Amino acid sequence: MMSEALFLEDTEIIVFRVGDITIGLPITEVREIFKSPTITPVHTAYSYVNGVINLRGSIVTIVDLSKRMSLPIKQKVKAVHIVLVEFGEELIGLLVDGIEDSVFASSDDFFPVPATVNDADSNYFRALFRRDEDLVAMLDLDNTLDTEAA
Amino acid sequence: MDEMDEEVLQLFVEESREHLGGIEDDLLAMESMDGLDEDLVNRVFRTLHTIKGGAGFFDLINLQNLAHSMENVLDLIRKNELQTTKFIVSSLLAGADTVASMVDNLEASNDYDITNHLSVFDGILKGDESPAASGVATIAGEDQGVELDTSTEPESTSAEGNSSVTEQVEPAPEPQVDTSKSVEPAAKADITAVKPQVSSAQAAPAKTAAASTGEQSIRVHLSLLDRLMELAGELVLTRNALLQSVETGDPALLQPAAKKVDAITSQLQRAIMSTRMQTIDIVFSKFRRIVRDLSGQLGKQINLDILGEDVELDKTIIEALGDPLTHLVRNSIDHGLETPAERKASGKPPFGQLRLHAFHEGGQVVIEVSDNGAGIDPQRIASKAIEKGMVSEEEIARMSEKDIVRLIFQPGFSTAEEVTDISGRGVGMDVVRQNLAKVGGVADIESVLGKGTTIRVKLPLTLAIIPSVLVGISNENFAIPQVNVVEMVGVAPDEVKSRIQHVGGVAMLRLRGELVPLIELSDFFGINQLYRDVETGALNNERRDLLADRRENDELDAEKINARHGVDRRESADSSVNIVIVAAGAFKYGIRVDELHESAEIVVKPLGMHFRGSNEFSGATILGDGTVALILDVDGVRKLSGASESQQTESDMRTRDSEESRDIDSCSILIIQHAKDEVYAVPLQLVARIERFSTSDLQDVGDRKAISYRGGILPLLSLEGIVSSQTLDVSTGEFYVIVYTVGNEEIGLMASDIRDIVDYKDTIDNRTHKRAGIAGSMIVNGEILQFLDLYGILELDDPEWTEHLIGGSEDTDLTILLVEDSPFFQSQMKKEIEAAGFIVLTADDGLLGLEMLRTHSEISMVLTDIEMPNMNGLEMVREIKAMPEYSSLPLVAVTSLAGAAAEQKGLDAGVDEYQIKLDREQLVDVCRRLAKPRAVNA
Repeated sequence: MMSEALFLEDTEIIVFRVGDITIGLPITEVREIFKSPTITPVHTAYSYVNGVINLRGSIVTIVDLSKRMSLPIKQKVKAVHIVLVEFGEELIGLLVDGIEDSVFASSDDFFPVPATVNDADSNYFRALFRRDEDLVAMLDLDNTLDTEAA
Repeated sequence: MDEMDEEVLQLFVEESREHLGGIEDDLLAMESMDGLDEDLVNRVFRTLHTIKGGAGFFDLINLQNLAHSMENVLDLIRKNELQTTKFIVSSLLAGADTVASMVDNLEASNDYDITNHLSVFDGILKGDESPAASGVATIAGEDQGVELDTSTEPESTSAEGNSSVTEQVEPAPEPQVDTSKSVEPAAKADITAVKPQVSSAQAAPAKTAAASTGEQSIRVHLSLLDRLMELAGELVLTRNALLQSVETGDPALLQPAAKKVDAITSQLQRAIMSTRMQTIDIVFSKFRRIVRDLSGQLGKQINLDILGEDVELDKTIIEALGDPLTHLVRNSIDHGLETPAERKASGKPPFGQLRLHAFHEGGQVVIEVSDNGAGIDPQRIASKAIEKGMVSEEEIARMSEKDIVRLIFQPGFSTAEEVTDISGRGVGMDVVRQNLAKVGGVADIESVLGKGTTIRVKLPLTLAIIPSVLVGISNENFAIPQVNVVEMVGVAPDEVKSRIQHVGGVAMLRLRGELVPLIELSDFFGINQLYRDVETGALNNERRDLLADRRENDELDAEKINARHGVDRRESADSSVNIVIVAAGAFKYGIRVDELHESAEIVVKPLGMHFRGSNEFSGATILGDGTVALILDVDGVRKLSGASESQQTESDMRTRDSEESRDIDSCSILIIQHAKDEVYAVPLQLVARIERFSTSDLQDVGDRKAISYRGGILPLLSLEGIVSSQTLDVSTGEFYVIVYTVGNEEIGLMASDIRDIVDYKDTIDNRTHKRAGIAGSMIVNGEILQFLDLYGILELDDPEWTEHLIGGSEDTDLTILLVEDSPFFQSQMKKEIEAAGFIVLTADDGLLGLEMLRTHSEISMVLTDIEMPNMNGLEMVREIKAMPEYSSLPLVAVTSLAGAAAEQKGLDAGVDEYQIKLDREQLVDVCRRLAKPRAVNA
């Protein structure tokens, strides 16, 4: 089901960490990266919504990726960075544990996702990408953020 | 023209310009479309329709006629009866240009010669493209040329320049005969050439506004602009001072400069905000004229009521409201309200009532347009919709009447028997829906045939700036819109216990004779509980069960509740409680807060899609320190808590309202005191006697208290251990006994004191406090009274004995149908009659009563209330009497207050007897006397 989602062109990728997973997003899908300001906790139907922040006068919903992917909670790493992405007509902040790198990938470097990626469901990813010795899971924003998809 | 008219006219011009801004593109798109693009044609159609309507009001005959004939053409296109050709589009473009030019020169518009246009459109309607028509295409070119001239003339900056346009236009329509095909591209070229020049020309600012499709301009009062300039000037001066003080490093200068920046910034902000907010009066005021003119035109007499004209809305919303409201008002006048003769015939006063009402509700602005006219016949709507192929008959059959009436919001739906000048071809409601949707508004309709129609328009507050109260709960801040805030109540530490009561597991605040349920937000929002340390004043974490958890296991266990009160720090004697009382529609409740911050004007920011499912927040705002505070939607919070927190719902409130207005559930109650702070109510009708005894008279008979009385033994009942956790207060050495009858025996209920006897006219709340032994609750003189169920307490005390008492009465197999809408009286009477040995079936209104009667042949007697919804008691009695098989069925009416007139009415309708509700002896007596086995009657 992931085969058509492979990247066809060379892509610059922002690599960040969520729990034990190394995740990537094409730089074209990332609007901004910044250190997390104070997050105002909110009550929503989605437990993975961490809260909202004030980003230069706009209210931005913060999604905790590790909670979204139901990853085991690691006390050591503290989610400190926010990767701001555009989804639909709104901006959503992804709470991540750390920003690692920005790399170029050619279309040959991508291959389909296995059933799970370090405990996380493969639905959240579009493809895997081999960076030197390790693997980077390319985040599927639609499946991760869409409130319709469970 | 007076000032008001001038303003309305100006509004019309602005609206028309805005509409016309997009018409050119739309017409051109029509030309290139394959087949029929309904949306597109509808849009153009509506534009012209709106202009036609407006022009009609201002007696702009030419404009009205031209728009009307263009509309006719578009109507044919819309119905697919006419193919769009280049010629037609060219003609329409030319027409639209003339319309635009007329709108810009309204006062001279009647001098325009539009005969050519009209003949072209007539020709199109007749199906021929006559050569005379082609002249129009030329006109289009000419018109544009003329305007091009004026707009590039540097001198023509004023109205004089505009009027010169008219003069030049007038000679223009010389019937130059050309073939349409050769002219058409030229006209087009002109149009495209003109556009950029016009928009860049300073001489025609109005044109610029019209050209920018969809973009709105704001009209700002000059004095406000001056004020903004002034503030900007001041800001510059202060900045200079600030820079200077930073450069010189003189702290003495820094302080005042910073303060000044602060002051100016907030003034500036306020001034800019105020440019956006306008009162709805701007829209409402134009209807006075419209209603006057239209009612005169149609020979109707109409009173216009305008309420809430000072409700402020964002400029954008106000502008978007003009059109839809005009349509609604016109529809009401044209279709809704009847002529004086018709009204007289249906027994209404000759003057029809039309009401415009704006108000805040649940964080939204609601505008109601209501009339007391003929209402909408769902049957007619249904058949029309089927006829037009909008819905199938099967679909209609599945729809409720309300949903059928809502069909009028569908495009192309017309209910008017004939097309009239006033409210057209039924595009009205479609326009309403679409225009409202543009600003996120929703319209709904409610209509009662013969009574009138109400259309509710709900507008969101997303564009609005709303005054709010900022509160802190735990470490988090919330904003509560001021419109929802009724008041703020501080309960002093020593009052906490007496004013916050847990009755039936629900925390309630006593507030001037009302019982207001309290909601603990932390129960729902997963916020940590905090309590204020009395000594340090700091907020600390509190480890304690959530209210919601506590509620689960407090089945009447009063002792436990009391014990919990003891450990509940928040409500203990050493901390005060702040409560914000809010209103969500008709429902009022309190939100406990830790801190009351300031009131502030907050700017509403939308929340993301993850909040779409949750109704408890209407948005968020950014506070002065940059942190985010969520805006509570008090109605959403109520819904969230509703299930567990309180049984009261909006519909309850509605029934309650209607019951109150009917003023029927009145009864005399005896107020007795059991112990300090514990007061109960007993229906006086059930009380046989009240006696006073000394505690020394008390005897123990078996395990029961009793007293020698009238030569016998009167068994006594104490509320202690039944519904109360407190012992009977007999500190005076005396007590009272309320004597009542169960079966054939008398029972005495002990009370420490008799407080009062009152005539209680309000509804008895049989939900909030209902439990075994307590039939309901009521508030008398600011006190919550629990309404005792005298049979219930007996049953609780000694079930076997009760069974013995009641079972001892003549048990019959007779079934009695009890028709009563008040749940309280229904359950009370049911119990009483059942206690007398009858089988009781119940129905909530006359219709249900009839249904029960049909399905239960064993019913041998009917007891009915008079005032009920859907079908009242007398109507039901008449229906029953009309059926021969029920001719001998005894029918007894029960009321709370009998009057001679009411009684006569009842007897006329066929009622056999009248009885007073809760008069147990009489009620039972009448059942015993009248109920006969059904077989005899059949």
